[in-house]
Amino acid sequence: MMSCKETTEGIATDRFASAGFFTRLSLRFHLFMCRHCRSYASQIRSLGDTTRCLCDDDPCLSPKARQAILDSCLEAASREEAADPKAE
Amino acid sequence: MPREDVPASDNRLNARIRARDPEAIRSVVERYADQIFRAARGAGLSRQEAEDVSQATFVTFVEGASRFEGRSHVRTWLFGILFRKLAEMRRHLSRDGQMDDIETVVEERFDVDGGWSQPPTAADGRAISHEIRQEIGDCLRGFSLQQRMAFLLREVEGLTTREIHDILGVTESNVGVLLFRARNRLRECLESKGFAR
Repeated sequence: MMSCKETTEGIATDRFASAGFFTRLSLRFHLFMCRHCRSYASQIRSLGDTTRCLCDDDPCLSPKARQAILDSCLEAASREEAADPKAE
Repeated sequence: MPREDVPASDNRLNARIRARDPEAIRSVVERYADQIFRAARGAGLSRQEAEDVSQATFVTFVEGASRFEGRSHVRTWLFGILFRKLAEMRRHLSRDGQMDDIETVVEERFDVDGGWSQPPTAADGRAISHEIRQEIGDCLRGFSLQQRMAFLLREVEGLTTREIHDILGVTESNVGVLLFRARNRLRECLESKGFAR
């Protein structure tokens, strides 16, 4: 059985996401047997979920800022076009 | 959950981006402006700073559009530009190659056989709830830029390790190290504030 240290390292580095069948089976078995690692895995998952919610609270540009970005981009495109009219 | 992206194989759109077609530019801005803004906010910028750096990111994208060959996703390219701009603003990059003190903290939680000597205090991750959002923001402020971006790109934008490697310009195994440090730093920070009980 993999150790608790190996288990938590694998969880925190995302190594298990690309692991083979037997490694993932071993992980599941370890988590079934070890409440501390189960707790750790749950906390890491929760941190991601909570941070995602945190960012979703303030997700959007104002319409004015979005328009300013678009205007600057179109201006830059015209500028580049004038400087390099042969660009594809 | 991965957020929507333009497939790298969308050759027609890529050609229109290279030609700086106004409709293609409009479509890219519409599709990605909020993601870029959110990542800039996640990196710790104020709304005004995040708006400014988002605008600068898209302008750089348009200026370099003739070099866009579609080998990477539009999103990856944009996040790469954003990251370089943030790195110019904050010169924290030098910290990331060094041994991080979080590794010592994590190491001390295990015995010589790799078993827990100081197990996590929370019985259940559900204890980490909405009320600690402010604390998460405070904890994230202590991160290096690369750790913070790796964590946010993975957890908030749902990017793959490969995409994060392209954006940050580090190896894929270093992306794992950055995620390891960021997640453990955040977990330890919240536990030290008494939230994971």
